[in-house]
Parts: sequence; C-alpha cells; structure tokens
Amino acid sequence: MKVWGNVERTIDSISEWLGRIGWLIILYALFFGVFDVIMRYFFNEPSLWISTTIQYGMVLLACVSGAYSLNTDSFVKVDLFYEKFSTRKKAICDIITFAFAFLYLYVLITKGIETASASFATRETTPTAVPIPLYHLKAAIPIGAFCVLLVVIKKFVRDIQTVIGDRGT
Amino acid sequence: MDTILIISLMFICLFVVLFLGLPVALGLGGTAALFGYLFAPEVLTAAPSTFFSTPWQHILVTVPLFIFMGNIIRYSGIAQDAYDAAYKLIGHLPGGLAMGTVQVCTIFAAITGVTPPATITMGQIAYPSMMRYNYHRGIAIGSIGAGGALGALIPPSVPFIFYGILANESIGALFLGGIIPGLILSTLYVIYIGIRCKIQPHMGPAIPKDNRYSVREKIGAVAGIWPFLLLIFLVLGVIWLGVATPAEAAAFGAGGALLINVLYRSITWEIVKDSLIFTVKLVGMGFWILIAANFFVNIFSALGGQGIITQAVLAMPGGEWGALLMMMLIIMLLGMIMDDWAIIMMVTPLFVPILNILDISTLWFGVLFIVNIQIAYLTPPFGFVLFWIKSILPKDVTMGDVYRSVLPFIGLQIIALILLILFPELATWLPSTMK
Amino acid sequence: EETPEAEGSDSEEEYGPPEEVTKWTFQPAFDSGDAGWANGVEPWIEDVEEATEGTIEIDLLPAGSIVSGNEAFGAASNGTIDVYAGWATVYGGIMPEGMLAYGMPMGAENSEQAWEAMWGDDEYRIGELVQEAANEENLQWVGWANQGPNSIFTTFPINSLEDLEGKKLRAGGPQALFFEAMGGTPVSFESDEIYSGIDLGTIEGTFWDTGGMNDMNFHEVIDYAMLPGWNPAQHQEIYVNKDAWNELNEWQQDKINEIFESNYFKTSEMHAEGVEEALQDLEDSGGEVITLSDEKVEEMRQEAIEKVWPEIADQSERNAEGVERWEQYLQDKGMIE
Ligand code: NA
Ligand code: NA
Repeated sequence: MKVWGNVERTIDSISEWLGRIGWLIILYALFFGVFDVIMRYFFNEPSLWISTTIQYGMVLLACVSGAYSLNTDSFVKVDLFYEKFSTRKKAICDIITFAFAFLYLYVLITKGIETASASFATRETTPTAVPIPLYHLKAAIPIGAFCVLLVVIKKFVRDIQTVIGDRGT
Repeated sequence: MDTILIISLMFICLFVVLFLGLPVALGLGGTAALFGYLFAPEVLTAAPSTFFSTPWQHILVTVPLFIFMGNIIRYSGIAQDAYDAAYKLIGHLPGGLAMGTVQVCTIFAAITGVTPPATITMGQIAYPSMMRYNYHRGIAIGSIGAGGALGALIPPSVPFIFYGILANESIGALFLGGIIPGLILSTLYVIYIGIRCKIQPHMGPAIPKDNRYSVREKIGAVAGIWPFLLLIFLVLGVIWLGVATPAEAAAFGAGGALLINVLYRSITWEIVKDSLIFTVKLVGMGFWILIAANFFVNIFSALGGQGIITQAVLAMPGGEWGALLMMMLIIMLLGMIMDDWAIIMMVTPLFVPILNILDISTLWFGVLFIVNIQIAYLTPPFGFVLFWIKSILPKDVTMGDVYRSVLPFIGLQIIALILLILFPELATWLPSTMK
Repeated sequence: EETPEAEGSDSEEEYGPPEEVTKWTFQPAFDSGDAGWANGVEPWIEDVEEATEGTIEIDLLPAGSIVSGNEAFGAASNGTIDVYAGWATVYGGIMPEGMLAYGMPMGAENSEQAWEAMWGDDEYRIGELVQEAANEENLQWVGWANQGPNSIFTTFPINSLEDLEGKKLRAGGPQALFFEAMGGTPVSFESDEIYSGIDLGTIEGTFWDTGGMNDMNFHEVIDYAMLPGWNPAQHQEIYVNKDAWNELNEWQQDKINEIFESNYFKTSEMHAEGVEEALQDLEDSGGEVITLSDEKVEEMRQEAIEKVWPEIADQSERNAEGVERWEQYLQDKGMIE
C-alpha cells in the first residue's frame, strides 16, 4: 500500500500545482480586465487582444481547476439521501457511479485529443483582428480531463479499500 | 427506439446517478456520454467542444472575479462591519438583516446581467453575518438564493438580450418589462421575511427593546458601511456611466475590493491567497457543471429533444392557456439542468411561432420566461442557484437544508408568476409608456 | 463546372435518384434570429431537397444545439454535423481562404460582380481557391449568399473618412483591420454587449451587416447608417462534410451543384429585401441613412486596398493568390487604377 500512498501524494501535488496556475489566471483576468477598460475609456486606446486572452484564460482555468476542485471535495453533490448513508454505503454508491465519471472523462480525453490534433493540423487561431493561437489551448482540455481522471481513480481506489475494509474511517 | 423513451431514460438515469451521490458535473457529463455512445456517437466530439466554448463566453469571467471579490470582502471584515452597521440601523425590525440582504441583492441584480454573481457574492458576505446575529439558516439561505436569482430579471440582463434577438422583440422594452416584476418579487420577499420573523422571532430576531441604538449611534454606523457602498457604486457606476460592460465591471469589483482593503485596513498575502484558493475550487465546480450541462443539451438535441418539446406544446389541450402552461412547464423542467441562455437559445425559436399563432405577446412571454427560469433555478432537486449556494456555504449545510430554506420563496415566486399571468400589464405597462 | 471529382459514388448504380434517403444534420454558426436563417439556409435546404427529389432530407438546428456556433465549422469538418453555414469572420481562424468568399473590404459592389469574380468569368475563378482549401478541411463548398452591405451604424453622422477618426466602434476581425486603417478605434465586444454598450455610451456604434441590424434591435439605439458600407457585398457560405458529400451519388452531387448559382442569386435577392426593411426600420425610428459620394467611396477603396487587403493576403498562399485576382478584377472593371 506504500506504493499507492506515493501515487496519491503525486496526484495531490499535481492538482495543487494546477490550482496555482489557476491563481495566476484569476489575477491576470483581474488586472488586465481593469487595465483594458482604463486604456479604452481614458486613453482611447483599447486593446484588440486582452479580452480574447481573458476568454482564453477562462478555458484554461476550467482545465486546471477541475482536478483541484474535485480533489478538495468541492464538486457539489445532490447529497439528499447520500449524506445519510454510512461510509461503507457511500463508498458502494461511488463505486457504482464511477463508471459514469470514467465514461465522461474518457470521452473528454479521447475526443479532446482528436479535436486538438485537428486544431494543430490547421494551426487554428481566433478569427479576431489579432489572431491568438488556439491549438495549445485545445490540447490543454484532454490534459485537464486526464488530471481529473487521476483524482477520480484515486477516490475509486479509496472506495474499494473502504468496502473491503482495508481503510479505516 | 422511440425518441420519447430514450429521452425519458436519459433524464431518469441522470436523476439516479445524482441521487447516488455522483458530483453534478460528472453525473451530467457521464449520462450524456453514455446516451451519446448508444444513440449518437458522432456527436461525442461535443464534449471537448463544449469544454472550449462554454468558458469562452466572455460573461463567464464574472464568475471567478465576483467569487474573488466576495471572498476578499469577507476575509477583510468590510462585510462584517457593513452588517454590524445595518444591524444598528434596521436591526430593530424582525428579520431586518435578511430584508437588507434582499435589498442588496436587488442592487446587485441591477449591476449584473446573470444570476451567479449576486448569489456567489452575497452568499459569502451575508450568510456568516446573519448567523452571527442568530438568524435562522432557513431565512438566511432563502433570502440569498431568492434575492440572487433576481439578476436575470432586473436590467441589464443577458438572458433578455438573447431572448430579444431570437424573438425579435425590443431589448429596451424587455429591460423595462422586467423592472416591475423584479420589484414586486423583491417586495414580496421583504414582506414575507418581516411577517415570518414577527410570528417566529427565532427566524430573524430583532434587537431587544432596551438594547436599541441611539440616533447618534445609528449615524455613526453609516460610516461603517462606506467601503461596502463604495464598492457597489464602483461596479454600478462603471456600467451606468458607460465606462465598462457588465462583464468588464467584475474586474473593477474585484480590483476595487483589493484597493479598499488596502485603504481600509491591512491586506495580507494570506487573505489574497486564501481567496484565490477558494475561487479556484468554486470555479472548478461551477465551470465543470456548466460545461457538462451544455454537453448534456447537445446530446439531448442530437437525440431529437427539440422535436419532442414542440410536440408537447402543440399536443397540449386547452388552447392558448394549455400551450402557455406547457411552455412554462418545459422551461421549468429544462431549468433543472440547463443554463439560462442555453434554455433561451433552444426553446425560443420553437416557442415564438407558437406564440404568434396563438397571438400571445412576445414581450409578456419574455418576462414570464425569465420569471420561470428564476423559479427553475431555485426549485429542488436541481437548480443552478441551489448548486452555487450549497458550494459557498459551510460544509455542515446540507442540500436538504438548502431545499427547505428556498421552498417558501418559491411559493412567493409562483404568486408573482400568477399575478403576471393574470395582469400582463405588470410587464407591458412600463414599456408602453416609453413608446 | 465547379463539381470536383465525383469520387465514392457507386459505379454499378444508374445515374439518377437513389433508392435510399440521405439524412443530414445542418447546424449553422448562427440561430434563427439571424438574417441568414430565413434568407439563406432555409431557401438553400428547400432548393436542395427539391432538386434531389426528396432523396436528401435536412434537419436544420440553431447554433448551440449540437455544438456552439464558433465550433460548428470544425464540427462539420470532423463529421459531428453534416452541413455548416457561417462567415469567414467566424471560421477564418481555421480556414483563412474563407475571407476571399466573405467579400473584400470595398471589393465587389453587388452580387453580379461577386459571382463574376468568384465563379462566372474564367479569367478569375477565385472560388476554386476557396473550394480547394475547403476540400483540405474535409468540406465541400455548396452554397453562397450575398447578404448585402456590411456597414457602420453610429450615434454620430459619418460623411467622410475623417469623421471616423478617434471614434470608438465595435469592430471584429476584418472590420477592426479596416477601421484601424481608417484611423478609428476598434473595440472588441461580444455581440450581446453591443446593444447596452451603445445605449450607455461605452461605444459609439458598431459594424454590422445591414440586413441583420434590425434583427439585433440596433436601430433602437443608433442614429445613422452609412452606405455603401465598408464591405458592400458581405457573403455567407454553406459547407458539407466531405465524407457525407462523397456518400451521395453523382446525380445528387450534380443536382446540388446545379442550384449553386440560382440559389445564390435567389437568396441574395431575399437579403437585399431584408436590407431595405432594416433601413426602413431605422428611418421609422428616427434614424438617418447617409450615402457617401462616389469620391469618398473611391478614397475609402484606395485605403482599403492599400492597408487591409495585404493583411488578408498574408494569411495564406491561396489568399495571396486570391487577393491578386481580386485586384485584377477591380482593375479590369475600371474600379481602381
Ligand atoms: Na440584471
Ligand atoms: Na430547479
């Protein structure tokens, strides 16, 4: 189980680092958002790229925040019945629903890779006046989904440990 | 297999996995992926596609920025001071702070064009303050949820803009049409809170008679509110003075919150860091739900869901009223899982021809539409306002608590909806004066 | 003649309508509120279904149904949907050659000129460059419509280029390039921000297609429209997924190619009526339409060709070739030196 402990710690630190990238994106949206408006209103010099890069940032934020959020148990659940279950029963439910989480992430990863390859092939950019390359961003989507999958698998293994009595509560 | 059967199974499957405790985002995405695999495999690329296009919408930047703003305010104590001051001013009224919360939400609704910001910001600020003054959870959560949902109804409103374009209805008229119903709702909430707390003082206790504050103390209290008011005026001001769009104003709110903290008291890196952590967690939760919900809608459409909607409305007995009822029912059902603009984009083109045949005013219907979406957002078991509130409040608040808290407010929304149906002038009068 | 190699069709089969009905999903980059819906994609579907004698059935869905409008071009190329309609201002980031079909700034003045340069006259056939690029994207270009002038709608009057200087207008993609070249200050707002932005004075107007201006209710907040616009003939394209196209038999492909031209002129005529209506709506709400003098138009064309066309040419080799052919065309027409 020691090996698995290391795997868990690795997954934790990956999602932690992704979270930190998220901090930077938020600060970027904040400072450049204010800067853009000030340049437009007071100096009549709006940028043609800031708002696009903020949109870019929001997609990237979705990519990096998923694993961080799920790993810190911030993904909201409709725990109407679930909250009343015992730890073991909760783990059994999680094992049953794991297939759904896995399927969604599998589709996001595989189809995401296809979409990203197509985007790379055409060197896709935004159609805006200042073209911003989009292909790296599209590649970040399957990567972000893969990190969420790592967290989902981590939780799945824990649930199995709980059910077979290998993990105290 | 029959389209109706497949779509029913899809919704049942979603309900089951969500009740089994799968996070909402993964439940929506997983169900959509499963039904996509089985019945429309060519549409599965919509999964990465929605992942890109959903956060790409410029208005979504308001979500992290307003979460961040709310958090900075909460940590710094500005909000607490504002609520302390408000308590001195209106604390003698039963439920006074909850009434104040609804008022602030109404102002916030006027600032932002979408629902999440008011809920997110007020959820972080108002809830802990009300708890401190021994307000009951039910009143606190209900007033935040219902007040926050006003964002789409009181102008400026992004959903109205989308509806106006699709229904070819004047956006200016829709904006005006939303004002009176918005104020009616906000007034109903305040009256309800007052009556409920008068009858059941433990819901929102008033200051005991012998503890009331003097006029001098009250005037002094106003000083404690200034940073909070300044922030509201900053965000509102940049929009109404034509400096920034509602989406851009969020950056001013967040920036303003930082700046006021610097002026008002010391800001530490710890506060900024904790706020960033909180924001990333919430954004992950919220964005992933929105993305998965859009993917769900794509699969729903690919399976022929839009055809089912039209059939359902046309097959409804009872002529004009039957069709109207069915349309509102559909909006409320879709509102369980769909984003407001997504519902508008999907059903407006289907409904407008029906409205024209039945000679129903598209202006009136537009206002009904948004009121319906508000109800849908707040109605258990699923709704975006419910999800946001649940994730913002402390962990010990369960989904059951949230459900119980919002129920009376849903009752009030339904009263407003009935008033609006009986007296269409409530929506159409103000726009008609401007012609 | 624009029919390319009709590969994939079953050689055993006789030339004529096949037994089987082909079903296509059509999702444009826009929704039913857009002028391109009733005046563009609906009549195209009607013509295709009629010409192919019901052997093709097309299910039309608004943007966002299967994929978002911005992503729909790629979705047609990978087969998520079968048919796409949109503008190069939306899909140009993937296939810049679309700009040649969209319409050059101050280029063709009407449908006749645009058709002549693109397909009609063997001298130019700029359309072939677009078709080649589309084929590389696994698409077949099958429909086209002139939506009329893309113009400038403002709260202040524009009588000459000088009036644009220092003004803040919403302009995206090629509009921004043009506007910047004319000394204006382009602002990049999303479409749902424009109405409130003009109303509250954040911007002083917007670039938009004239026929769609009233669909967006802009006539409620602006006071002036400028004609002939910065792009007198703005176009919209329809593409079919190449695999879906290859699954048709030769007869079906021929039928669709046959209606390309007739449908182009028919839908362009419908759009022209929409433009009239939009301008009428503007005048009814107290607005004014300003038509620039020939002299001012010349001046604007010179500026556009000098400053904006090279930017389009820079986007790809085919674009460079296409821009050259467009210049040649305008010269032959005597519209430029
Ligand atoms: Na609003
Ligand atoms: Na609901």
